[in-house]
Amino acid sequence: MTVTQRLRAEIEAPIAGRFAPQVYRADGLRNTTAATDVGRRADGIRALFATPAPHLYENDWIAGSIRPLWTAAGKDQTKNASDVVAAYPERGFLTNADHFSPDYRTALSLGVPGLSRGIDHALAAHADKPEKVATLRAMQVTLAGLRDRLTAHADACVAQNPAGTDARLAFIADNCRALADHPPRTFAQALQLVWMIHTCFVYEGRYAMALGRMDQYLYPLYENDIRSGTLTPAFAQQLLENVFIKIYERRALLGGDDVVNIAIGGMNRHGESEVNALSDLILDAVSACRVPGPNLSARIAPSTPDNFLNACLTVIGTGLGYPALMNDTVNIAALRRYGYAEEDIYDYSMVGCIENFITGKQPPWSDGRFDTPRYFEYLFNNGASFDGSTRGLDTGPVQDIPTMAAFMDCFEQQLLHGVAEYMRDFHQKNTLPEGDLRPSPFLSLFCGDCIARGLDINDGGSVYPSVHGAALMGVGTVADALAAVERVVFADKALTLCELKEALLLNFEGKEDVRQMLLHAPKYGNNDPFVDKYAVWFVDFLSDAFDQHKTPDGGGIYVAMAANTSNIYAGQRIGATPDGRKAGQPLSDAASPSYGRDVNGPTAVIHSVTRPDYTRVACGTVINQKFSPSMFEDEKRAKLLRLIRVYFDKGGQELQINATLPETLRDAMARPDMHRDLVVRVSGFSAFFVTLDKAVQEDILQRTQQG
Amino acid sequence: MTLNVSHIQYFSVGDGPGIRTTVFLKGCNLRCPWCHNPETLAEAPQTLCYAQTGMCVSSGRQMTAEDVVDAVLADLAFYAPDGGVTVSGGEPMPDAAAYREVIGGDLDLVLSNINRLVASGAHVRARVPIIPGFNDRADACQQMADLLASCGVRAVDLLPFHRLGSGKYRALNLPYAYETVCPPSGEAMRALAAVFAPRFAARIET
Repeated sequence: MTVTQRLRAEIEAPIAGRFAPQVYRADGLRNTTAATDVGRRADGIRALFATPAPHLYENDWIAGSIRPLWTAAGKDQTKNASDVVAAYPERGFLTNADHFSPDYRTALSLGVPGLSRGIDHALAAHADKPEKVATLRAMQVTLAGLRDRLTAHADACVAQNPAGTDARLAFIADNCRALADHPPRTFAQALQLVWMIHTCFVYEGRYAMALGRMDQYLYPLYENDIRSGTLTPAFAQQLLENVFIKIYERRALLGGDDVVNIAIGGMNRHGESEVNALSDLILDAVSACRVPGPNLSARIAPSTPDNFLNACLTVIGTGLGYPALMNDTVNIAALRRYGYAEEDIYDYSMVGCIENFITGKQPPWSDGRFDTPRYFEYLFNNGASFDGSTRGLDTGPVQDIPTMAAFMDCFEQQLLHGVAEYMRDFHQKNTLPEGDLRPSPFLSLFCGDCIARGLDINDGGSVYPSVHGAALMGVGTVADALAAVERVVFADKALTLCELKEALLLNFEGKEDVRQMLLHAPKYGNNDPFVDKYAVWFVDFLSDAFDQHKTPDGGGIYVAMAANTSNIYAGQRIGATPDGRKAGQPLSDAASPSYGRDVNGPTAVIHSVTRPDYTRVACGTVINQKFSPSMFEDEKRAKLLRLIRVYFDKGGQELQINATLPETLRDAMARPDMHRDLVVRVSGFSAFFVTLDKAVQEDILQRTQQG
Repeated sequence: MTLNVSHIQYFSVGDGPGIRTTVFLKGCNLRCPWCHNPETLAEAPQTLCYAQTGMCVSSGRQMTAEDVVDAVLADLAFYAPDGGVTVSGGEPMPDAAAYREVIGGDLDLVLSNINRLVASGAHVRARVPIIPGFNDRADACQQMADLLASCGVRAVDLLPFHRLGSGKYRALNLPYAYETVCPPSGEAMRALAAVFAPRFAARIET
């Protein structure tokens, strides 16, 4: 077993006690003498960081665990602590709590003492402004909490290793001790500081906190250590694995995955590749850990070397599902529309799944779902949903619409009405009552320019305003629906809008002939401009519509075309649509064509899905593609690489590739409806897997296992 | 000039180097009982109806050479550096006149054609289906190896039999003699590849 595998086993060991971080925080809040809300919160945070006794795994080389958050506190004590903490409500996802990519570059160059000096300077500069003084003092207290935590880990190592004979404990002790008083001087110290900060965020209850561009901000010290001979690439990889496997603690102990985005690769302002030796080590380390949680993103630029992209594909081919491949050219052009400084745009990273983020210079992320196909219901049913439960805009009797252009005009009115409604709802949920700031002093330490301005991250401290992501659901469903209306109703005149309305309201019960007509109209994802034009319109129209709106502090509303699995939930609540989809069925996923309707293979999908202008989709898109494991073998992998290059040259934004491992095939045999798009390709032959006989499916399973 | 096209398959990754578009033509002078594309045997248009999905697919339409070229060029961006078009079938060149026109050879003499190809400096890969009960023995492969070596061929792809086409036979309402024949194991394929290995760049297609 490797060190990482042994560490994993330790992580998975059962834990006693109750998960109760509030017990520590409440102690700080009970004992505080601070006069301000932010000051009292800071005392709570410092106690949360400093009090829990460090947990050191026997295979740890980088310390920091969430195990100390399980306490022996009884039910009453926990309940009491919860009551104390409840007086200091925290922000939630829609009020910019987490999903943040910290400025680790600055944190590493300044270290704890440098950050502290920065706060002192700012205190001097803002001495006449009591609110800023209180904010800065609170930051200083939480920073002291981080320092306490580093010292506590050093002390715990020494206590376990008084004679100093255990090299591993001495290593952790030396690193943590040094970090209390100096900026990191080695790669290991830099990684230790980042991990200690990251786990502090987890202690605070934050989720989806990114590690950002690790290959960039860790590189100077890595290179220095390698050159001086004090570090080997193999040991560096082991340390990285140490960190990545501990992201999995949350799943093992709390259940549910964290989504810690790590961005590797990318290009600089001159278009030059920024892939370095650490990019490859991080890729290998994430691959070796084989756990969900580290959400690896590879920024791919035209200058990204083939061998790096090739290495990414090799990892994807193991069935890991990442790295997700991001097109730097498109993302950078998309962010440029919002007026950020050039150097900040090129230093972007991602938070959560794919959301583009100006690293350490904007408040935490929020996003919501905009279910576009819902507006067909209001259009067809005089402003009422098919089940009568909700009301939207009444654009008049649908049967009176004379032309496709007029139909589009009505649908656009519907969408604009929906966008206005969405934004009203967002403002209501995103805005806290006047005077209720819910400050985040510790988080503010890692966001420029909070310290210098003496302002909280959510109170004007950050360089840029907050942005919000509106995730547009159902581009494939909408494009297919509009193409079906154009073809069947207005071009072929095979159906009237009145008949279509009737069929939709009946959910095609007894109207299978109508449904078949609609299903035979052109479908998105088959390189057919007749339908693809509606996807182009979808992106342009909706990004224009959301561009008319701003967040409360003046930031942009980015649109996204990413779904996770929410296209399934959204679909459950939306009636039948004119593409032939029945009520309750999933909407098309993310930016992909509707499931199983792209029948001409991946090149046709690429022709279609690269027609929209994704530089209008600043948050990001997801296109899912599945390939059999044989596509990742040497010779065929080169073909896959070519496919991706062309996709990105043509303006595709993102590609999420999955290898169909034997377990996927078995699942497809058991649940064919979930795998209608699974294609098997052999020499001179290709077929949809689910249409094959059981015996033939078994043959393929056999082949896959041999491969 | 028109071509009798069964279907066009984009992103063909098992039919030659690079990303290719394979044009499957209809009509074949051979009747290999293991054939996995039975809809390409007859020249007349046919419809395949799959019972499981209720889906029907037609095979066979007359396309002008220009239409075929346009369809193939749609994916031009994907072909670099060594991809392109593969013409398959059916037998792409059943017409002796057309055959003579294109290569200037004689249809009957398959071996002499291979000889000519090799002599012309073409990069020839022999693609040999391994059919259980027909040529899946070491001695059969040895004979094939001797034959190909005598023609100067230096590269061989072995294509293990598969019965993915059985659904197509049913969709065409045709009997399939190989319906219940199991594909050769990976181990057996590696043993047969070893027969070719001393004299050829031998590869098992997956």
